[in-house]
Amino acid sequence: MARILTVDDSVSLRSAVAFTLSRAGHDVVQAGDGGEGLAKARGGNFDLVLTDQNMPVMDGIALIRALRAIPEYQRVPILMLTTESSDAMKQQGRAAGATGWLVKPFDPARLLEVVQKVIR
Amino acid sequence: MAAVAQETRYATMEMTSLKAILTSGMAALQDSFRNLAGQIHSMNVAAGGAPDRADTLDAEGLPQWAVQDQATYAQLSAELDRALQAVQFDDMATQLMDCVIERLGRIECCLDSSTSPPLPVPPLHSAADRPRQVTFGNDTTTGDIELF
Repeated sequence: MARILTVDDSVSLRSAVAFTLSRAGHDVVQAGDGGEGLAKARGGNFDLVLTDQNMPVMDGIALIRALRAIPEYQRVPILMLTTESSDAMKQQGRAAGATGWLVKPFDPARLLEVVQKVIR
Repeated sequence: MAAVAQETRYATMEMTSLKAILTSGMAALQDSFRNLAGQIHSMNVAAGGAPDRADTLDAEGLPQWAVQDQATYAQLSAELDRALQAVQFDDMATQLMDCVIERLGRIECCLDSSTSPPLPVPPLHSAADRPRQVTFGNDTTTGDIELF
């Protein structure tokens, strides 16, 4: 079981991700934007962060940059789960320190496969 | 936006099915779903019956039908959130939930990604034509996955 932070401004999508991961036995904490995500991440001791890109307050790439600046999150996998799919945006995410890029809509089984792979 | 209307309609039917097999405390949700279904029906009729509707802009310069779709999506999100918090899931509910998850993602793709091409519109079916037990979870296209 991993402790996972999921950040998305869409309540439904966030709930759906949380439902999928919780059902698989993970401990899931939710945040509604990048700012809230960063606040919850500090001291949250998460094994994985899953974030949307387009959000109010702080977008996903800015969140990744902020997290990578925190010593305890330099090696924690961070996955983007977003509708954005351009190569340029993916490169930005990669440069910021993203571990992987998942384009919505997601398949719950595939999401779990990827999560299991990156948290090993 | 036809794709949004159709995906929204399917999502509503899936959630209606989900509601039907949930175990407790769902009377309020039932009314909400009924109202939502009526709203979506009206939206579909308006979209299909008045092609010049897209020329009608609101104060922010957005087409009225787009605003209606956003509002409907927000309503769907709220209903789903309530359902998630209110129910206990059995296997069938879980299967339906997976379908709704994917459907909501497709709706959000339509609404959120103005530069992306619209999703293909699935064949039109009436509510009566749709299976009560959802079996189309594997015939939809999900997004790419790339690990760096």
